[in-house]
Amino acid sequence: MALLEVDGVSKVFGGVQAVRTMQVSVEEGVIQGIIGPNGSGKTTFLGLLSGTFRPDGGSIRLAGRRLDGLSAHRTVKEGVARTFQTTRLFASWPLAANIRLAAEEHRTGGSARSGTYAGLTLERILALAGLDERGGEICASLSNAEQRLAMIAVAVATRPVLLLLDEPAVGMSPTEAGDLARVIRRIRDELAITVMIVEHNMHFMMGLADRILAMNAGAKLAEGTPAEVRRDPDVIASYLGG
Amino acid sequence: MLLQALLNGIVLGSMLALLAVSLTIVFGVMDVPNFAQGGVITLSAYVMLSLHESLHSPFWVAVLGGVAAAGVISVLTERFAYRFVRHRPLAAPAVALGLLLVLDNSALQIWGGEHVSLTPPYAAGLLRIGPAVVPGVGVAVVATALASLILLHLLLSKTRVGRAIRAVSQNSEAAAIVGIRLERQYVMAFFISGVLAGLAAFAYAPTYAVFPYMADGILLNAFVVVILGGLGNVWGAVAAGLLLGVVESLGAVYVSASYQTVFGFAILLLVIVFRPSGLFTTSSGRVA
Amino acid sequence: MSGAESAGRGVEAAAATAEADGEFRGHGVLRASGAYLGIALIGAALWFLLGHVNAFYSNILASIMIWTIATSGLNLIAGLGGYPSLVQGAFYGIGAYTSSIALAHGQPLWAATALAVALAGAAGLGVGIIFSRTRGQYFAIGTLFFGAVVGLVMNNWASLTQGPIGLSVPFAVPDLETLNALIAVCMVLSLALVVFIGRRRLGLRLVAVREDEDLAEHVGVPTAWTKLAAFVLSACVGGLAGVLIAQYNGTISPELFDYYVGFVMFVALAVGGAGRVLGPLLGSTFIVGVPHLLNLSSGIGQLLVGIVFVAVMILVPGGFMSAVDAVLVVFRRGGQSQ
Repeated sequence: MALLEVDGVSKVFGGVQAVRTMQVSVEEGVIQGIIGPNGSGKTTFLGLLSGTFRPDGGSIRLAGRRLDGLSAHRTVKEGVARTFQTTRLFASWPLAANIRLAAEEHRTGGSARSGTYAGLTLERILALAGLDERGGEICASLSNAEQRLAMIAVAVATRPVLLLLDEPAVGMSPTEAGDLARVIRRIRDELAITVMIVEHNMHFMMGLADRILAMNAGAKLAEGTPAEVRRDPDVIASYLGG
Repeated sequence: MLLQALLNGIVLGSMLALLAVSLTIVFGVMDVPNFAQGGVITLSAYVMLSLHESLHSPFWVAVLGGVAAAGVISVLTERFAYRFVRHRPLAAPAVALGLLLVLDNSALQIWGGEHVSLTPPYAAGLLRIGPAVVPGVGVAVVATALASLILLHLLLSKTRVGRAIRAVSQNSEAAAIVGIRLERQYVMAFFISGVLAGLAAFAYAPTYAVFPYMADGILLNAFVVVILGGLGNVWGAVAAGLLLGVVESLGAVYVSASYQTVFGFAILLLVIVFRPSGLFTTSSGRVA
Repeated sequence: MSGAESAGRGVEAAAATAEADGEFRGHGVLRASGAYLGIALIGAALWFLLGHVNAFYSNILASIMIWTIATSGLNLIAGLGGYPSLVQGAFYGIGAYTSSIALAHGQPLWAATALAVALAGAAGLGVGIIFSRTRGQYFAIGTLFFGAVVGLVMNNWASLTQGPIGLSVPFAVPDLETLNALIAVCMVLSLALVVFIGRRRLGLRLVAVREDEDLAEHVGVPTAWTKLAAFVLSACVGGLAGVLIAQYNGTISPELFDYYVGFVMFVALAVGGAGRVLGPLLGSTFIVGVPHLLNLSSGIGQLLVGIVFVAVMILVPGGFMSAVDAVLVVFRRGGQSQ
């Protein structure tokens, strides 16, 4: 059974069909990319998975448990954490305080996950995110790339099984994006977290994702390995045609 | 009976609409509603009174003077007070309260505390619609509101100044990004807000007495209207004002006059619980 | 609290940055036991004054202390939580009327107080649930209006409350000295409550909600429950203050609990420093004290009060406690590094 099973999920926003019956299956341990042009519904879809929005129809199952309809904080307790397209942190607090808040809400954690998370200290989280020694800094004074990584660190502190990243590479230089890719791989490899990444930077995704899902106009357009999806004529057309 | 209540409701609603629009226009400029507007209305009414009774100006000149004064006073509250607490939602209510005390008590000091009346030349007139009657003053309220809102609509949609004010009143951050020179638009928005308040004073004063705290009561209702219509939404405020006026009027007639406010609250409750951003806004607040 | 050391450094940074709108750190000016001790000392000092100054001043002081209780309660939802509740006056009123009516029916003081606090808390629960999806200005206006309706009800429900004439309150305390002691103790407890909660998980959650509610929800904070708990607690404390003012004044009337009162209580909290433990005390002193000093009954007095309000908030938009912060930062930097 796949870790995440999404079946027939849809969402309407103010009269616009943002997501149409999506059917997706994500295996455990995979780095799953979601690409698509602006307005294709990627962020909305992510929001449905994270409990930010409630789906109008369909079901979302994580390891067999229904997630659709749960509030965001319950969804986090179930093991799904996310980052945001626009940087969101408790900006006037130090980074360590941000991470501690997230961790303290999950101190007891899900029993199935506590094995992997034994020893997930503040230092380890910071190291995984490439932010060693930055814990005492006020988040507002971190650089853009550091803040994007900080969001990931905070999300990891909630001990997720599934991590959803919304355009994590925004505002990053190619070097910084490379560091980001390494961070994501480390998180997957060392903590056995399944990662889903929404990104419209194809280049970034190609080297990182194991599988890619392409969306357009709220629906799934194509699915497969990066090489397959990149060659798909519909996908190419959606980016060019708009 | 029903017709009379409806007509009363439209009169009340027009007044609320006018007041609410004056408040909603400056919404984007401040983080809190302009609680001091009551003071602006009060002073405006007193200026009209003075011009008309003491200086014996013709009625319409007095009204014009009062409306202009309201615009100026409103701008002064922005320049000397609100400007300094623009992004301070905790500090702004205190400033507003302080302004209200200053304005109301200036009126008290200059003109004394008795209730006086402003009697327009058309006060004795009556408009008959079927079995119902609308007093001349009531007709004036509706006519003023109608004329002002039409003019306002033209200003906001057809002129450059108006478009800038709309941008600022809806979302000052976005307006700044687009490059609209904020300070001038803030002043303009407050001026227009003041003018509308002055017009509301002109509509309100003949119906109720003029005294230093005259506007504090109706202001509460006006805030409800602003919320119902959606903060910053001019036409929402108009529609909501009429709605509230009619509902309160019907409620006062058919249920109980003393619990008039309760009906407004009932609507507000429903709206806040089911449509927190107002009855007439379509924005969907996205979290991510 | 585990975030203490990093939060500690955050205080200086926060004070140094422009964002001085009452950032509560569970640390702030004093450390844990120091905070409780300080509050107890202040309470003792004020109690002493209450018993030893002439009636004119002790009246004002008692009002200040009772207002401190009410605004300290408000500090939980509005200060820590950042939700601009303008309805504290209504809970104050519910506490006063409930206890007075219960006493008039022969209940002992402890029972009347318990009932008053419980009813105020229940009202807080109701308001919290009704406005659970409302934020910011909408929340402020909604709560203001709720307060207006409560005032209206108290005014019109003559069979219960005697309407506008008001109610005479049975004096249920042995003597004035005991009442003064009660007031002082309750003031200390209400301030201590904010210290206590600020250091617990509820306080941390509230501050997170204040900073960014949606983000808080997404890191696992149960925001709805957190806000509701704070609201109920705020209302209970407001109700307690109402019981005391009823006892102190001897009579109560609906205008004492007008929606205006809720508004001014919020202003008092903001002026003192929202989210800061001593904010309510400083703010209440200012709001209650200044009008009396400037002779509120005259129009000129009110005018001056208005000018002072405007001037103070423009000069110290973060409230008096933020000014205290700024001064202390200078001292800390001058002294040893922390």
